[in-house]
Amino acid sequence: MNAMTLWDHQTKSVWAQPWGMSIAGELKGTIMTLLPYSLAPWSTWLAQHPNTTVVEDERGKVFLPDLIPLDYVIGVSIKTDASTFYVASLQAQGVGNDLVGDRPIVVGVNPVTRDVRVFLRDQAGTPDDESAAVPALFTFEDAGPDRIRDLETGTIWDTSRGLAVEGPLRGAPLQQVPYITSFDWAWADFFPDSEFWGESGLSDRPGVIEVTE
Amino acid sequence: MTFSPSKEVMFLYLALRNLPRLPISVGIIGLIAVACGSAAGEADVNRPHPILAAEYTAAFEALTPSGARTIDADRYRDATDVDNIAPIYEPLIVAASNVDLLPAELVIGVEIDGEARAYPHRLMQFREMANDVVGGVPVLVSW
Repeated sequence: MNAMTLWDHQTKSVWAQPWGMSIAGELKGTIMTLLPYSLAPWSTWLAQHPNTTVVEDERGKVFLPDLIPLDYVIGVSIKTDASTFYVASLQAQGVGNDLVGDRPIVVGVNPVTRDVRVFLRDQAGTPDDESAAVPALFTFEDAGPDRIRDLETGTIWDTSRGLAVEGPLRGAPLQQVPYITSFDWAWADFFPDSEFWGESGLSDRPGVIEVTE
Repeated sequence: MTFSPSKEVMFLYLALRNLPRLPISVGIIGLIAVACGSAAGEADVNRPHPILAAEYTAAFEALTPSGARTIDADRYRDATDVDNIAPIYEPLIVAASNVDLLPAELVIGVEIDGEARAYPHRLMQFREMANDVVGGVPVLVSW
């Protein structure tokens, strides 16, 4: 099983990276909470977050941009259930509606930036028009870069912010779901019961592209 | 104690470092979805998604992998020495205007409670772990 293990300085317990769970030591069995993030081009992240700060090497080392693996999957695990999505397939389709266990989720990917966002499909917040009926379950279709449309109300949602921006549910947010970026074989190691959605878009593995300006 | 490699696997893990010791309440997923400042009826759809630290932690606790796990001991092996890879303990945080990143290069972006932080892939590729606090929430960024 190929993945990093970590140790904490306080108890010296050992943690498995993919599970976020301590596997040895005083905290064995303890689980850290997985949080969402973006894996996006710098220009995209900066445009979305103009006030962002950046972490640099505190020792003053400078690293050059490196090759970026292309052939990865998005793994979503909620409690004991897991689903996996090939980014290449998501890019072609733009959006994927799925169930992780009994939790309905939607996975949206910007085909240009490869920015992936996952949300629950059964929990939307209150729209600006509080009298608008909010469906108990949504099914989404692609509506352009960073945009998905629900078939129930026709509302258009901005996936970069998880927010309804046009239509009867305008102003309603979606609950974001965190995910893990991984290679498919590694994900299968640690989440052996996981379902896989789509297929790899690359013939040679691991595929890489060189970052150029 | 064994510590195995991350070069063969690309995992990205962002986790609350000290959650097990925090008195976090559960079941407020809906609250993270509550929009703020929309009483006037005409909402500003350009406002950032409202994410507050307290709501944040509780919301994602219910959306985290858990359950019994089995480790295949035959496939668990040493690959490098302990602390062979130097984690980031005290991040050097700089303004976006002071960095020289290519537009196309990847960053790991985190936003909590209005604070946004980017961890360049070129940095995390070598450092692999960053202990940080974003939006008041102690986090571990792991690559």
